[in-house]
Amino acid sequence: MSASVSGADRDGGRDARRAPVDRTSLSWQRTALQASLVALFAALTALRLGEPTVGVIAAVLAVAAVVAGAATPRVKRAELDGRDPWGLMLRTVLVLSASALVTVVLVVAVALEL
Amino acid sequence: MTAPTDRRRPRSVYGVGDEPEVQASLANERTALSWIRTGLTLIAGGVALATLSGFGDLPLVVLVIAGLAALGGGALGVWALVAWARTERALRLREPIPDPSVLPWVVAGVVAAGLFVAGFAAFEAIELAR
Repeated sequence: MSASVSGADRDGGRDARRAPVDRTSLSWQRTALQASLVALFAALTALRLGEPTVGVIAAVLAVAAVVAGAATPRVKRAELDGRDPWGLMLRTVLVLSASALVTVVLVVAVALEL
Repeated sequence: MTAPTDRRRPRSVYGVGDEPEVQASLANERTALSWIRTGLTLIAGGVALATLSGFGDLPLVVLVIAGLAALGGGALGVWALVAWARTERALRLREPIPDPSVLPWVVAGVVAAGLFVAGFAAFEAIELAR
């Protein structure tokens, strides 16, 4: 009995240590998904406004966001070498900045049409 | 001190202090990601306003807000990166965590945009009712 309780405690302890790692991985996935959806939204708007070049750029950004999310390591985040988010974060912010730029181009395109 | 084989970048962060608690470091990463998602939401708002303006004749100020939201979103993403590095460095040096200096600006901007949109909607509703 006591052996099974201590085994459960051990599992509980492992789960508790594992939880922040999983939460962080899920946070990365949410961010990548949101970045992809925003870029896709911008692509559709650009195509609807008759700006195919901007639309294609935004679609490429949507794919890049998915790739950035898929490249996030999921397993070894609790280990020293696994906690190196700089490159991933930089890629995500680059996608975000490019999406912001695409949106500004869209706004200018709409303003010129008005 | 940092292990000599530690090749993680940026060196301005990983080249100083001691390894922090894993959970604190991961929490810092999640906070930066939350700021990035806030920036993405601002950009999505900008795209939505640009789409709406494309449908009908909305005043130019709506487009100005859309542009500012997109630029603000981009700036927030860059700030998230800087804030992550500052906080990680503070964690490694066992120093107090820097305050989120951009938070009052984000709140002020969102409140101002919300008030403008509410006022604009009310004005349009009154115009329609006449």
